[in-house]
Amino acid sequence: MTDDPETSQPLQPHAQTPRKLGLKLDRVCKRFGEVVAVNGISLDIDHGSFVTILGPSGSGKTTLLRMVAGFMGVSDGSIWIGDRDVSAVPPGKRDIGMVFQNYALFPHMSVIDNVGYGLKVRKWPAAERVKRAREVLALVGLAGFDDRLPRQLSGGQQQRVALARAIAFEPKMLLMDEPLGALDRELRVRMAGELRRLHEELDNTVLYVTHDREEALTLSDRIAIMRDGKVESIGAPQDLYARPDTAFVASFFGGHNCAPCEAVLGPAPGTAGTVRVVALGQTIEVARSARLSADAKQAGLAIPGDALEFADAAGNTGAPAIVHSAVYMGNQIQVFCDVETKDGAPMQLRIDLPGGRAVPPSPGTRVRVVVRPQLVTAVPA
Amino acid sequence: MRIRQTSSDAAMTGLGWLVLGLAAVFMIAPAILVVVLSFSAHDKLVFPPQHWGLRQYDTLAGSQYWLQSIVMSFKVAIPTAVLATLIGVPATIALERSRMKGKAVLRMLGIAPIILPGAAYAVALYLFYAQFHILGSFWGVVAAEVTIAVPFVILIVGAGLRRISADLELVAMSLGASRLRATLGITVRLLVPSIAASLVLAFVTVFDELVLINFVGGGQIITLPKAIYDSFRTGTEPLITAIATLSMVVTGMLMLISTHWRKASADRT
Repeated sequence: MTDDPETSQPLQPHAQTPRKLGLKLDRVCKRFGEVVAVNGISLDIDHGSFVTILGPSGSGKTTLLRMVAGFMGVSDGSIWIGDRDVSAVPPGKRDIGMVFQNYALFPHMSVIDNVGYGLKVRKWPAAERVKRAREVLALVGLAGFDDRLPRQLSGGQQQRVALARAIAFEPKMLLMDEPLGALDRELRVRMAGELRRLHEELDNTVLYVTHDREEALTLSDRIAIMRDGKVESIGAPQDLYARPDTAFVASFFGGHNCAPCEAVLGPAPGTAGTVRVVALGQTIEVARSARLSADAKQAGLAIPGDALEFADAAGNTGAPAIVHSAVYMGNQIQVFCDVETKDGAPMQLRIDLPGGRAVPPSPGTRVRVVVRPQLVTAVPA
Repeated sequence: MRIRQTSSDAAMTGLGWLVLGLAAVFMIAPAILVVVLSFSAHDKLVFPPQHWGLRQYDTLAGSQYWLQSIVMSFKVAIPTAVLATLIGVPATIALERSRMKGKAVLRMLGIAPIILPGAAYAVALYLFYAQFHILGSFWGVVAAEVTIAVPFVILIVGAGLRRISADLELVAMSLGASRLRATLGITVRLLVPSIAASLVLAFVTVFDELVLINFVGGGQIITLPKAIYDSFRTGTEPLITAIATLSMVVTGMLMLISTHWRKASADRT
């Protein structure tokens, strides 16, 4: 992560001055016998921000969330919510609301009783409980569903009830474990929009776990990308997308191509943070990830699909390649090309061409691929 | 879509009817026969009866011996069912929800008493009880019966518990409930139909139980099945048909109720 205020301006719409800490993880570890599920994660999250933990399954993201919730103890390190060390505090005393992927509504309770459960445990009088539960239900767009049972609701409605239940007692933190995973695509997009809107209205910190990068992009102020029990990278969605700092972030989060450099020529004269490399038959000057040392001898390139284009097939600029397949997607055409590399290693690149009326090239077409260096980042190989 | 019936389908259907027919002849017919015979007015078992009436029920109502055995069956079966539930429900929750090692072995041990050959188990208990001079003691009998009632609790409550998401308790805890409140207020609350069903099944099983009572009852604890068994050694009393009819009716009703509860809870979760 670079701390240069010019290039990385974190988006924190709720951040007030002075900044208030929402959640702090200090070298948190979780071991199950020999297996290390979470390996020393430290993270500071501002109060009021929406932070997503994004990672493939098995990366430890759910374990981390369950430790923050208090369902599991930490093997090492500490967890702070606000200015309180909650590492040894039971879940009910941590002031958190939690939304599960399968909603986990109490099947024997009506909607209003589900939403009021946290208030009942906190000994609110019945009348106030119902009043508050109705307010929250209205907030999630479920006014008038008071007496329904969970099994009488659709998946999307159940999700709203679960959300209302988690925010009814105004917890400082809201934890969400793939809450949209069980919904169909259209509903997922709509609910994501509503979650974001709700977050603007509520004064809480959200920790959101998902393996879906689109959700992470739509929702988050900051995204922490997890891999093998560690945070690989953290930043605003824009920074992570435009300037990924590792190959994993580039491919898993950005969906970028990763290509090895044929040679690394060292820093470009007169410019900090850049490096000259040879790749795809071109000598180009690209941005250098902070993780890549200035005198590195090897590097990889994170190349977004739209940073590649075709050159004249008869000319000699760029790298020769053969079209493997092409998919027309409306606003763009994704062309997969097998690039001829010097050492013969297989390399396939995805090239995003503008769509519209354009016709995809047919498989087997010989092309030359050139790269636009402005959008490319050099990352550790 | 219509599925064309093939000859093998027809054969399977025929086989199904054959099995049903055999079941009817060998299992249901004797039961019906007993019911019919219970309304005979003879003082011996006669088939077919020439005279009909409620004579067997009259005699039963006037017999201290039989009434006392019925009372004894209740006396044994009720505390047994309650104890088995009190032991079985927490045990089942531990077996299903905890992450302890050797769970599968413990579960097997828990249900072993209804898998082991009954007589072998009873003989073993007999020797054990004789050693401690508790043959024929009331609580000794209850303890023995509890061992064969607990497996029903483990099986039925276990099935119920597997339908209840473990996340429900976690949600309750995240909403501020203590672990105890989450377990009792959510999981156990949702288990009520299963617990009731297992209570009934445990009761019915113990009420009808003959083998253990024969071995560890020491001749002092005479429950209904024991009384019926004893009476057969001295000759057949037609009165037994009335007892059999009554217990079939009561057992049948209890089983219907318990099935209904289990189904109701299955629909809900």
